[in-house]
Amino acid sequence: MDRRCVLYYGRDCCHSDRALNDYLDRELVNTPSSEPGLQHWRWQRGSALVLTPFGLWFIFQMLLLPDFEYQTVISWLATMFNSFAMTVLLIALLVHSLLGLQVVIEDYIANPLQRTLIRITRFIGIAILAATITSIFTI
Amino acid sequence: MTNSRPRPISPHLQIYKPQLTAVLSSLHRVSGLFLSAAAVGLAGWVITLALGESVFAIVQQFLSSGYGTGLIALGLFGFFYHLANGLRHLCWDRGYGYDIKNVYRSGWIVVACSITAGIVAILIAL
Repeated sequence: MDRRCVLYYGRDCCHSDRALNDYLDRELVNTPSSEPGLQHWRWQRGSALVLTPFGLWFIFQMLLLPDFEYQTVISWLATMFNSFAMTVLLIALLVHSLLGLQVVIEDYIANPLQRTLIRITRFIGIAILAATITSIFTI
Repeated sequence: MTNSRPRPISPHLQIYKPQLTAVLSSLHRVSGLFLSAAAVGLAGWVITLALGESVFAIVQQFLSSGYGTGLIALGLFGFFYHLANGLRHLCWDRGYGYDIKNVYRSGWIVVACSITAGIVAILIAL
């Protein structure tokens, strides 16, 4: 048995990894790793790893900006690297938020409202993301 | 079966003594919710940049007000806390730091790091 699976399985905390534990129960008996719960877990961790450098980068950039005049911010965002990095940041941010919100909804709200709310948050999140990326590239 | 008084509802938080582990875990979720709202705010801020100078000026006016500054400060603390505790979760995912002693030690490290980083960031911003 894989050492990591045993460790996950042995965890006694908690809400956010409940789904993982359920799915790993099945993975231990060789269910394919395309299970939605495991995919959720991987995307959550993957987006977290992207957000660590990009989130810190954004905060440093904002702290270094001399002022928040329109022209200053526009010329900051207009550079090739900054617009690319902001796009990556916002995609990772929205993905991570949606996954997190999904877990919170699953924990506190029962079906059928649960499914509806998850769909609504996803729709709103993707709409916001589309509008934001369009904005970045029209500047 | 008739219930004369309502049964307690899970997760029975009221019967537990507040412990560092549980408090940090809840705080991770609360900060995550707050940061989700902040993410929407950040997206909105970028969109107003594309909408033009007059719209951006209105948003900047709010952000530089007392409420705006307070929300940004709270967002900075929330970000550093969620980041530090998130890294703690990633260590757990790799199988490190599971014993009670290390769970408490890493918990206090997270508290110290996030408060320090938040204060430093706010001092630089001022």
